Amino acid sequence: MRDEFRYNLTRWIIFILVALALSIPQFIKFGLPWSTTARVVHNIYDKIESLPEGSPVIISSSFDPASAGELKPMELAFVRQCFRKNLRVIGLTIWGVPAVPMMTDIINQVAKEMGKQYGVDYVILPFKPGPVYLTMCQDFYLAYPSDHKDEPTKPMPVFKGIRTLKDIKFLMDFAAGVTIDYWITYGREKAKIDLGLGCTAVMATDYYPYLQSKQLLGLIGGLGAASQYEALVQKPGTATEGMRPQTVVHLLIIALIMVGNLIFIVTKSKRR
Amino acid sequence: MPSRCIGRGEKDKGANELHKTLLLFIITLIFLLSTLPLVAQEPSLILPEEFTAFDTPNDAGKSISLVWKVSSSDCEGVEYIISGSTNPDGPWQEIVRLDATKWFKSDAPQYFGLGTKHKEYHFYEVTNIPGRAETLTNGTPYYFQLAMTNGAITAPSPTTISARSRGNWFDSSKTNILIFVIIFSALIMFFIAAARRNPHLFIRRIPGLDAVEEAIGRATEMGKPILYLTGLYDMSYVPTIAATCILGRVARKVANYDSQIKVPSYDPIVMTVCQEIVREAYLEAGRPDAFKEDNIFFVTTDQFAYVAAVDGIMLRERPAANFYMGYYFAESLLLAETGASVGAIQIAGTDSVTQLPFFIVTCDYTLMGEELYAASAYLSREPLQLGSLKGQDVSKAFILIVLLIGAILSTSGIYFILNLFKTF
Amino acid sequence: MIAFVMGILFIIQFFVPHQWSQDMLTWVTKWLSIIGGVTLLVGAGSLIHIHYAKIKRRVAGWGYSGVMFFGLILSLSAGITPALIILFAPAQGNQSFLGIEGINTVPGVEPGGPLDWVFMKMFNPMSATMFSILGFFMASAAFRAFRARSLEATLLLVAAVLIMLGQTPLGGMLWSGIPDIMAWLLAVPNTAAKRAIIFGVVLGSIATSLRIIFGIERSYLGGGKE
Repeated sequence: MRDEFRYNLTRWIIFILVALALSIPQFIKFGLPWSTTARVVHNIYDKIESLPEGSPVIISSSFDPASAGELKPMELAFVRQCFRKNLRVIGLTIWGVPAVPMMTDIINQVAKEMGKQYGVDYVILPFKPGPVYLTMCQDFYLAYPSDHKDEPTKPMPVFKGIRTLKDIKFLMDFAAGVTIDYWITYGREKAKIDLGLGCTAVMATDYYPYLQSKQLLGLIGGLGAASQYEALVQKPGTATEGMRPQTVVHLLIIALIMVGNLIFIVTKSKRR
Repeated sequence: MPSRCIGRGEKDKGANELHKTLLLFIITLIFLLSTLPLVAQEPSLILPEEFTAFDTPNDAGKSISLVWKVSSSDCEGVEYIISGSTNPDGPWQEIVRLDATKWFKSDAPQYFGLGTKHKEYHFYEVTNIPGRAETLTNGTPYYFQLAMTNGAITAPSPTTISARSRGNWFDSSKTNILIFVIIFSALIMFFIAAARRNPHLFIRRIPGLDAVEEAIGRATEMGKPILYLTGLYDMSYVPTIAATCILGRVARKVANYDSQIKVPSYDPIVMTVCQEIVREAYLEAGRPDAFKEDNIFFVTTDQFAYVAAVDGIMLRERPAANFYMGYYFAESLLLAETGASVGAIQIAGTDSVTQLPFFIVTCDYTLMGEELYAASAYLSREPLQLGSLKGQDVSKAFILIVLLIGAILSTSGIYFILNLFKTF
Repeated sequence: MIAFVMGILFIIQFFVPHQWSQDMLTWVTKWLSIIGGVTLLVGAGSLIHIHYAKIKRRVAGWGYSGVMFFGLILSLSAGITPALIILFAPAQGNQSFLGIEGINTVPGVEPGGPLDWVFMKMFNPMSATMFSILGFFMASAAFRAFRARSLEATLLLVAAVLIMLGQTPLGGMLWSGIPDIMAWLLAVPNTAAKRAIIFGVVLGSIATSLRIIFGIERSYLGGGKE
């Protein structure tokens, strides 16, 4: 009983400390610039910078509000860079209907900021069930005859010169699920387009093998990498803001681990 | 002052030189002017050779492949125009225009393999002719023509080729998969058969499974239920099937101990399967009256709603033992940490590599990866099942040897072994 | 027998690209969806029965069962009511739903409708809240579990500390080598370990599948040799 009380009390203290570590940095602002950017993050940035004006780029959004905390900032930063480079942005999702409004909000928000025109500079496609990526390899317009507003896609200026997936210069998948596996199979292996992945930190470790085999050009894994991307794009956003509480919480956890080990060592030596 | 007088002979010589120079200049001018039309003329397009059509291999039909050799005129700005018809004399419909710097046979290794010469041929897969039916019809002959254009001039092909599509009965690009499936299956079946002859097979201890009896005994002593979760996949996934197999073993022990087991399910089909499993377990233990169908129930198919419900069950009912078997996502730590807070003994088994660290840190015992699949055989101790474990281990040894050989060969610059394992 | 026949059939199906093979797969997949839909009704029935029994018997925590019924009725109403309104009064389509500002009378999961509102304003924030509890639990799990009991545990501890530092700008500020070490840890030992586990998992899946197909493992049916 005493042990259970002590255990619960410890948990309560830890939870309160974590809550404070997360909330106080929201109000006390301090700078935490990145000294280096991870190579895997820089690869995506460099690729977009190297694309000529007017190149078509696909943004595949595959996440829901639960993972938006990590994925929305990186998608915002990426869209900003694409619009700054005057690339043509095609937004789609192969994940499910819940991803469409999120993607629409993100792309529309940045388009409005940067004065981009729908149908000319960017377009948003509806969710299509089934292996639409397979059809895109043969005929883009067979896969997507109309956009999410039911307007025909073929006459749109944003689709000029695009016949199949092979005509796309880069595809970026922001994924909380396994959609990138399909893009690697059909986008990279079949259509030979360059791929990038933005994902949650937990998932990122699963995709390092694809970086090594060069099936993925780059990887933005988690909020830290998202803030690095915001730094590259020179538009700090929620990911950069999130680095303050993330840093404090990580330091807290390290401190808790040290305290735990100290207690363990002291207890062990007392038993001896 | 001496004067330089030009004599008459020297004068003639000078005039000759002047005439020669003038003549040379005029000839050069004429030559240049005559070559001007050649320079100003557009380069001619050299039509490619070996334009062939055939049924696309390794597919369900309704597709014809067109292959032609790369032309020396291929460059930026040049396009190939493919036209098709159902008659050899037309009318011809333009099917597609292709960039001459793309669309190679090497882009389709699932049809043609990994040969180095495939980069010398273009390839396009025709699945429909615009204006006709949605897809090609198997068995119907289709006719094709190839033309080249650079925007200014178009060079039509002199030949018309034809082919018929048909479905194929074997996907040859999966031959390597078939061979490995046969090898691994044969190894496993061999050891199952060997186990019939010699049932005394040694397998190492798995502490997590040895603790199952202890966990159930503890729950019985405390008068608390046992909580068993089968993961967040449905019945069509192997981890869930493995979890339900283990449930059968665990439920039998629970019935023998006259304890209670609760199984909140993520999927309705899994719920019905689990209900049958637990019912049979109680029946075999001779305690059909002790079985409560309400203990195996459906919760929800949403990830976080499920974990909220299960956490609530843990906090209210305070089970003495928690079993987490199957495939889990981000909710694994939420479940295991809540279970730890109520003081339950926890045994987890998952093949989800991203969630293993969380289970290892919070649970008393964790079955990692293949141990989940070995659990049913381990708990039952049936020789045939143990034989399959041995076959599994020998297959793993085979893979280890191939990995070693592959690493040595790849380091030496020999890559053919990588192609043996390529999938398309 | 059914497991054997279907198991062998679909192993063969994987290697046969012919249209008959694809049609068979499509047909079985459709039946899976139909059966899944029917069992969803069975599941919902089980859920209602369990919680009704809890309320009736007033067991501990029966209030939560009441909350479950409230959520069930709210979601069903939000989905069905607009469809009924449009059916009987089509002119109400796309107008304000029951006079509530910001919500339109659109059926089902269409954006702007009441079910969409319930999903976006109630369900999604609750899902995000559950997800964010992970942060707290990770801290308490780390405090409890990362003890240097052995060499392996110490290595785990050191790796965890380095990666946590590397994931923040502070790591690079403290020492420029930390981000590189973090990247190496993730790219090399972590990937190697994952691959090793995946090899075992795949072979285990094959062995389990063969045991089920050939009827050696039957405990998932509720019966067995024991």
